[in-house]
Amino acid sequence: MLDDPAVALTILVLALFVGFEVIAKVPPLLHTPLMSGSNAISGITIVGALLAAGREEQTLSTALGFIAIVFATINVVGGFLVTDRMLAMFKKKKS
Amino acid sequence: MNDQFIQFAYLVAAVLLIRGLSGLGSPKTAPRGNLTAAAGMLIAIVATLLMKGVVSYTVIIAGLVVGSAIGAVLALRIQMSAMPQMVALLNGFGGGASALVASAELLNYMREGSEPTGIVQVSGDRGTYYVMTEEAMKIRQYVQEGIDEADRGETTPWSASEIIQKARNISEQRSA
Repeated sequence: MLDDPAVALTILVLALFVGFEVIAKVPPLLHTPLMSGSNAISGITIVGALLAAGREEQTLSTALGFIAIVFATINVVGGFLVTDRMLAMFKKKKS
Repeated sequence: MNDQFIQFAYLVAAVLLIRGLSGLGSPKTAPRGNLTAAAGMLIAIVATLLMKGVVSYTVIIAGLVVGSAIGAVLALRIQMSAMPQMVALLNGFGGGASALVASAELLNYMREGSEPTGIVQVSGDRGTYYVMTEEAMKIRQYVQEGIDEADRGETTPWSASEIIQKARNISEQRSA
């Protein structure tokens, strides 16, 4: 079903609206954690890396897939941890 | 794992990612939002590992371990004053990953075109076996549907040359 371009386009358009609405009213104070958090979420491309390496079709593409997994995992793990550290700063200031 | 189950898992992951991101909009809900998004990411990763195309886990697990270690060390050791640079660096890693994935997929597609029989050899932890390329599977499905329709008397049976022409059309559509 997701192969259908119409379905894919529908999901894309709806996602654009959701994305805009979700970040539209974030106060400037939280912009930096928001940037970090949304960067971590963009690491969803790790799914592509997992499939590229997991299919093991050729040696070269699997090697590229391995490096891609390493990079993507750095992005995801580092991203969520960095965001968490930034938000911890906020907690202390509030209390 | 069932394809539908995996799609449903992706839906759950997407919902958690969106809820997590929206949580980052207020100081009260932000820490939990980050955790929710991380949970969604984990579900998406696990669901992907359960897909049928994934034949071997050694490369994947090695990559995840190395990446997690580097990511954790970088994130926990960096000074707070260098945070924006850190975010930019992480973003760069993510972009690099996407470029590498694009290259790997391009290599796979280029190779598929040169396969004469529509069958590729795949080797992994579970041994070596042969799978049909996606294109070959589509052609086979189409031919089978035509045969089934003809058996049910719904259409006049296609001649062999008609079937071959339809299959060629699909082929051309795909490579176009």
